[in-house]
Amino acid sequence: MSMVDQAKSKRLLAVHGWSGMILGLLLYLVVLTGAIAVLAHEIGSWSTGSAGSHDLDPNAATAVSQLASEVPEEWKDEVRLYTNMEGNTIANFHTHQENPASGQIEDYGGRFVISKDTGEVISRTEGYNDVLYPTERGSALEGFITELHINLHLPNPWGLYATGILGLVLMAAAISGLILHKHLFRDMFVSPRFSSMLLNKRDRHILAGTWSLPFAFILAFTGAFFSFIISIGFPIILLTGFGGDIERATEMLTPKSPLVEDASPAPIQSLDQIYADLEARTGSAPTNANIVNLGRADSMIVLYAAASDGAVLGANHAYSVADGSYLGEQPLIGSGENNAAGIAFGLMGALHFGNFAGLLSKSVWVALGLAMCYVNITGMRMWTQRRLEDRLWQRFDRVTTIFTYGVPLTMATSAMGFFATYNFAGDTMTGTVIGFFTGTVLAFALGLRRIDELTAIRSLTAVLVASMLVLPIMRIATGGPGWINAITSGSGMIVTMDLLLLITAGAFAHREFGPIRLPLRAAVPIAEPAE
Amino acid sequence: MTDSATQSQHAGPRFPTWLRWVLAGPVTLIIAIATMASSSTIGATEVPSFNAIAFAAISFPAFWGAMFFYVLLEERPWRAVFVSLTVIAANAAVLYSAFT
Repeated sequence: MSMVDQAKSKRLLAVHGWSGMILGLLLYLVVLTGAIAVLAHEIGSWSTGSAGSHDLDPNAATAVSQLASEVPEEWKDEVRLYTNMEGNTIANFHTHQENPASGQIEDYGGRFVISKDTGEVISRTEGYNDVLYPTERGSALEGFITELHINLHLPNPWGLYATGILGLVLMAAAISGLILHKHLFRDMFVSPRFSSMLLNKRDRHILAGTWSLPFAFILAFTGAFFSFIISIGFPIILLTGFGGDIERATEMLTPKSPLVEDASPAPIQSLDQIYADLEARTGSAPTNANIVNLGRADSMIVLYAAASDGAVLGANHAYSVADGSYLGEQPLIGSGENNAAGIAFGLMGALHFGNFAGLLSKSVWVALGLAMCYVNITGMRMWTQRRLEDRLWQRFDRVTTIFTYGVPLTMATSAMGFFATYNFAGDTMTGTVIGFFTGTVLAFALGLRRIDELTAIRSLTAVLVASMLVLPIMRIATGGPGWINAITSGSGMIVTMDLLLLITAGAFAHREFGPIRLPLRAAVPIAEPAE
Repeated sequence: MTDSATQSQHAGPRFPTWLRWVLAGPVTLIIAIATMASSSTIGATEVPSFNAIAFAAISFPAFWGAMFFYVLLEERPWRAVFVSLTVIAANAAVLYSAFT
């Protein structure tokens, strides 16, 4: 039995259907790129041909200590250490001051790239945020896909508003879908009927939708939270809670140092020993670090170690830089006492990114994300195919087809653009963007021809399959490691990603061109060609 | 029973459909933002409570979802208008008292 009466069901169905129709295509774009972005780190490793380890490199520790004696004193207020996609260490020595160009308080200092091979500084730049935190060449592809998911590449805060509203729409669709289910448990095991195309689509939509309902709710809730917390939440809370005082807010959100303030000069303990101690304590190597007051007696380094031994969340650990002593675990955000909300923040991230159990949880998140894409598209198809006598809905149905195959096609062509530039000293971001637009133009050019729906789907599938098959070849042909090299150098993820592409291409090809055809496919009413 | 019949039975004067959508759309968004803002001041003395601030932010989608489905499913739409305005007024009062 449905939980609500007929009138309420009607309203809920209107919300469920119209919200999906008006924003369904954008929702599909955000959910599909989100499912892919779950593997952003693996994509970065695959696209650059690197082992993909983001652990801090102990061999760079000497160079960091050396730099501390060379840089201006004020740049030692704060030092950020992390590893880029190529495995080189980035050390950002900086202070905080107003950028005359933006009028905002920003980080100002030097960005040093320390080679993973020689342990020496291979690049030095000086400036504000845009210089200290540029888009890394090797991260262009994963960055492009992730940004598309986060803000649709719209300027902030508008992009975050858009994805936040899409998150709320998804939440409304998930909850209304749950309420509208008349037989929730039966729907979990419904066998798709073959008596009519529309009934078959409906059954498949219900089946996939029922299983992915809890996941859709979790993703929608956490996604809306992340979009609105940055664009609306923090500015409003800054106003209401702190009267607009950024310094007070920062002070509350930043974990407190357990060290007594002492500006007297002090030696720098060897950072590689601190890294080793942390790994021995937690079982995880540090992936990034933040040092404050470098060279002073009260200098502290806070290192982040990913979750290990069945833990869901990673943690920050503090050490004294002057004597190397362990100062204890630090909260990720906020103060150390009664930090329930800090843990809740961490859980929101783990649930959204699906990274709480390594590759296993990521795989589940990707699979459920793709199931949501299927629910999204079949829902839109059911809506449009009931209205195919109207030319407007025929056109919308065709646009849905273009999006269904076009979005994964643009992801593949973006990767092609990346490969065409990465090993040839080109601008990887420009290459990725050109690849994306090439895929977009190609999808619309193929889909908007005056052909029937089945031919449109087949031609789009053919191009998508071809692009997926070409990617591993192009990766290797443009200088990426071959399979044997990748496996022997410990970069098995590269081979896994290649195989995933080949298997996906095979699945698409088999579905569309294989010997076994769905009997319903022949019965699909052929829409009037779009004009 | 149809939607309009239900409305006429419970709502007295006919309630415009567009008004329900305005309530469910922009008004619930404003209510969710206002509730987040006011609940972040709970327990605040001179220094705001970090937990209150963080849970207010985390609960934002829940605030929105609760109001959205209430407004949508409320049989008496004018009561939904009344409740929405009351929640806005209550939040305004909490924020006013926090600032004075």
